[in-house]
Amino acid sequence: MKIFHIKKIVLCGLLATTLITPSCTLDYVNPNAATEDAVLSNTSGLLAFSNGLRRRYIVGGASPLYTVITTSGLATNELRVVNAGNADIAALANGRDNVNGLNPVIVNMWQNLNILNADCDRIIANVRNIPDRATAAAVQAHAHLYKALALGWMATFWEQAPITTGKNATFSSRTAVLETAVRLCDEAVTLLASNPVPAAFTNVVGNDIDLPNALNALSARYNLMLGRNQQAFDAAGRVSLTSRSRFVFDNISQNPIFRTSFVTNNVHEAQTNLGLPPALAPAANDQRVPFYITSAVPPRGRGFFLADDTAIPLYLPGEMILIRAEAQARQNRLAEAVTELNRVLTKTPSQDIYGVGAALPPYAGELTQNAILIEIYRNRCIELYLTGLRLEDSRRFGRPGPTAPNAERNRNFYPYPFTERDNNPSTPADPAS
Amino acid sequence: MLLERTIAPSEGGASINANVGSMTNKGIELALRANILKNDWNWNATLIYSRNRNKVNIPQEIIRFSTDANRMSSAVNGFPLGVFYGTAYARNPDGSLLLTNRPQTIGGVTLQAGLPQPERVGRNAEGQPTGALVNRVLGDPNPRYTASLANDISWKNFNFRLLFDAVQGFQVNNLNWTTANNVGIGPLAEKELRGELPRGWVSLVGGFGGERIREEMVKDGSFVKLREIALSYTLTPKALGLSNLTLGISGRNLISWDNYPGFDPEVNSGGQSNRIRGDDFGTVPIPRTFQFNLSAQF
Repeated sequence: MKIFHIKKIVLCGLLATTLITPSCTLDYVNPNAATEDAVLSNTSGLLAFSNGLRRRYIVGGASPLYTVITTSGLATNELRVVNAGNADIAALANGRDNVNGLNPVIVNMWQNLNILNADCDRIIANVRNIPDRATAAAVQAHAHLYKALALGWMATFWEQAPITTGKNATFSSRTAVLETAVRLCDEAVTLLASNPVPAAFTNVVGNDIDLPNALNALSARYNLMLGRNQQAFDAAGRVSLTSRSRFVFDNISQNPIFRTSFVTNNVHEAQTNLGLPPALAPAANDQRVPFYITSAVPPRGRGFFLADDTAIPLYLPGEMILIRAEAQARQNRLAEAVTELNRVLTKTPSQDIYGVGAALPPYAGELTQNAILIEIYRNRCIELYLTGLRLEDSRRFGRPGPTAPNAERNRNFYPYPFTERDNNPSTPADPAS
Repeated sequence: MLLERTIAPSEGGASINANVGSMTNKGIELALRANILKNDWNWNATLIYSRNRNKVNIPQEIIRFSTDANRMSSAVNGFPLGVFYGTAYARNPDGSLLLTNRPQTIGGVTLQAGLPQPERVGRNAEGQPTGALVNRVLGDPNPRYTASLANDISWKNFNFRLLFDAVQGFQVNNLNWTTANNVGIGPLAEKELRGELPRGWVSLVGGFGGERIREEMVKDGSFVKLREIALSYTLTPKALGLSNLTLGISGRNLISWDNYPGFDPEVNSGGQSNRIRGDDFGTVPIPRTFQFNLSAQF
């Protein structure tokens, strides 16, 4: 009894103590994750975040790199569906009404392009926290590159897109989006002209992307999409054709097209004649064809998707030359256009840094703008197979659209994902096709 | 109520943890224990009955938990947490299916009229669905009630145990069902190949000629399971310093009385999640197990 009594007193004493001691303020900090402030306020955080931009762009089946190539490929017959039970892939291959805002490929593409855009904005807003000017310039230019990529792909697949992220973000026309992308690239090139990329940057972020050349290449690409032919010509002329800018993969960060699709032989795969209609089919001795696909029937894809560690170029030398050819042709400088076109036609694999070479005789067709443009389109389809550009090319060259007979693409533009529509009242109406 | 909800990607992220509203739970649990026999034969029985009504109150109306529309678990204002929200069959006012009224061509194959289609907001002049797709609450993984009945019977040195579990009045989002039929190996595909369903039925339900009709994935999961049956015998051998030795055989999850077309209605691919329940996609069913037990007390 006495022991119980003592225990009772002690117990009551302890309880009373807890009541009179002041309560502690609880501030739970997650030790496993860096706070946004910690990342954005110093150089090493911003450099790591810069790596994160690339990671978001290229890694995984939900990445923009995978979804852009897949969507454009299925829309324009570059890719065929292997397993028809894959309803999402089949819907993109059938196109038209079969694609709506619930399609996971479209949802993932939109989501990750917007997050990439937002991440770039965060970096650009905080570049002032990097004391070293050269490093700051490199980080800013690098963020401009990825923001331009994000905007460029959004303008490829949607009629409107938000340029700046935020709650209930407003949408701009794709023209405005592309103009912003061009401006970002050109500003970054100017910035790097007086601030060469320092070792402090490349030691962390790597030098697989040659920033000035990559920025000029994107400027050329997006100027062409805008129809600014002379600017596209000039920008493409500034790009070195012997400099590699590419996305490098390994067994941990795997080539997404290979790992998610080609190795499985169960999602989508390459198409005979690179998916071109008979009138545009590649010549029998076009050496770009065996580079890109096997000779099996139906073919399997090769090219830049051979294995987990196959690198994917950001731009091909052939793209720059074909941009110049198209820019000249559209300005009716037909002889100059053919000169550029022949540079691509006659280029052998050993003359191209990636081994993409047609090794064909020079152009021998009609010297009319229409005929030359068709040949340029055909060469873009072959040279730039599975780069995600064919959908925009098909629209820009006025190829038969989804509602035409002999349609060469099954959509013009894509609907807005349900995640956007459900949460943002500014989301525009879906396009009819 | 804190929930991870998807946000518009144009805000700069995919999802956010937010205080989205509140949730109420009202329920009752009853336990009845009876010692039915008390002499040579000793029989204890326990009956537990439990019922809970859950409701979320969120101003946002609908929060989907996944960006994949096939994983239908959502929070819908006025409904229990985790209901399945998705596309449904277009129906006539009397509940029968509203079928297509003209042939259509999908992937180069021409299909006749008379196939199902997803519900839309309006009707056109021909009475066919038109306008935006309708999404609605299709099912609820929260059961109407759960009950258990346990029986322990012992006689001399024998002990017999019998346990039943019942979970009634809930649905499962069976994505396996639609996926299997889509690749031609499910019961609907069999019916179509035999001619018992019109050609193209599985394609249209599965989402190859329009949006997938996700109502087809929602299946009744109500079950009564023979959870455990065990028989053991206790010996008291006066050897080896043993005080007693018990030998037993038991079986678990032996029989499930249910109408579920999948393997097991008690699975969840969401794992131990509060938000995503009753989601059956590629999950391994609970196996039937048999055990032989030998335990010794020294």
